[in-house]
Amino acid sequence: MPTIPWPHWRTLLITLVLASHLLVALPIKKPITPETLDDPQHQQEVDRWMRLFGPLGLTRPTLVQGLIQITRVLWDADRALVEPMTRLWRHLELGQAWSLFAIPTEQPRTLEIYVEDRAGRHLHHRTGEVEDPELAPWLGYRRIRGIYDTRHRTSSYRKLSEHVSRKLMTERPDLTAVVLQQQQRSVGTPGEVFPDTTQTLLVHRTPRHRLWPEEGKR
Amino acid sequence: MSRLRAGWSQWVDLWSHEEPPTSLALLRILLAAVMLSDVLWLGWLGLPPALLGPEEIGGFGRSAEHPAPWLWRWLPLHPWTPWVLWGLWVLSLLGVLTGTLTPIACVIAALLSANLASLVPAADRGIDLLSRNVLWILALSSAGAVASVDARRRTGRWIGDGTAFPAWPRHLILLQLIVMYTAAGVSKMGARWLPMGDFGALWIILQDPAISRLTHAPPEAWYPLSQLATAGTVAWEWSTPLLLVVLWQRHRRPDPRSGWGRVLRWRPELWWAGVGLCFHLGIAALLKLGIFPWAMIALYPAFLHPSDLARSRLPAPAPQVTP
Repeated sequence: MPTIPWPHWRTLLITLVLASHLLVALPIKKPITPETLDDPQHQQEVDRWMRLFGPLGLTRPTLVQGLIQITRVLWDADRALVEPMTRLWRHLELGQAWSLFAIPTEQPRTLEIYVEDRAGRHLHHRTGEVEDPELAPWLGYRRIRGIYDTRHRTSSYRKLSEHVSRKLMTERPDLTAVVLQQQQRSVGTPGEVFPDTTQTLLVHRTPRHRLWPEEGKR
Repeated sequence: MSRLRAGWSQWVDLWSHEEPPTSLALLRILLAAVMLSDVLWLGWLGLPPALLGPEEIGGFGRSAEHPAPWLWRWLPLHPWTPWVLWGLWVLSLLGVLTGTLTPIACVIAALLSANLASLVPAADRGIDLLSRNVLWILALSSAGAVASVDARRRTGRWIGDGTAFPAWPRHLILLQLIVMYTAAGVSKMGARWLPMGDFGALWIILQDPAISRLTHAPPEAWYPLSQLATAGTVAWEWSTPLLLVVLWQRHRRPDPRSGWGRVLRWRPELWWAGVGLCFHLGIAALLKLGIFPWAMIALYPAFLHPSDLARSRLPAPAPQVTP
């Protein structure tokens, strides 16, 4: 039996790695569902696509149904092909998940920190406006921003909030609680009319007795 | 069958080419410098316990019981352990930077970055994933054979002796960049990136207080410029797959008088990379994305053939025309 030279084996290995990474790089990471499309920003997104497809005779329900079906098929294919590869790379945290602002958010959020004392609640930090000079570099670090600049309440968000609260309440024994929250507002392009979606989200209040229960007992 | 065999031979030939690893060494040094600055900043901010340790010892992420952060199965749950890991991370990146035990340093740096990603997925950004992918390629490459302590030990010269090594790691990093930019371009299906959304994407992004360097909404006079930049970004990312054609043609070494020969003389891949450089410098100027633009630029030496660096003080390789 003829021996296969090393360059061929090496090329085969490289080809396998390339193929697996190309599959993992497929951009469909979750299917579009009717619930996903309930989001006002996604509704606007469909409106904008209708500017292109409407004149071509496509109706809105057809476009929506088509989107749901196409992304479902791609998602199923993605799971069948990519899942085995992902399992292989998961332990080393390797992969190919790139999006880079696929859909820019039109409801950006600003981090706010309020402190509470006997006199009431006061604004302590608002990113870009009123900043705690000690906390600002810490909160501005890209990895920490990844934890609080989120759409969902996560356990990491809670732990971050408690960490900030502990720091502030240690420095100021007069504080009774610290609140971390996100202020959401709408933005658009010049001259554009957009709905006012200003609201406060992901509110996490940490009272002093939660961090130091023994103080409450005294 | 013979065509298949010929195609496979060409494919093997592409991955068997050799060159002095000067471009890879430059990439190694730049990437390690960027990553090291980030890890040092992480330490300066006092974040190792929060980001490198499990929740049992004050970490913001998962528990040591979770199957994902596998490193913590063997580590003691002591408050100092995350700081030891941080120190090891700094040392490993110093190893990559100086080319000391380069393959081992690359593997340790990649594993410690993976530890953070497993513990606190939200704190692991796309650029960290990309850096890990590249560190593994560097670990298998000869990136430490030039401008390194390893070179000094092996050849007696800090800059090595100009020996050629397999070029496939540089080609793989090039492909990694192409895959990344192509995937980023394909996923830009948000209408704001397209004419239906008035090319308003960058204008919208500039108003996000979490990442924008602007403290107020940008002046309206900037809007046409932002539209142009949005359209340019999408066009540039969508053009990425054309690089594959250019690089393949360069590998085939066409007659310099042929159409492709004339096109390749203009070095289209370097023009493309030049636009990318401006794109990332623009991001660095306008957005607070941490090391992202700098780490991306650090990977751009992959576009340079070692002959492009021949005028530098690094050992001059024989001129070749391959990707």
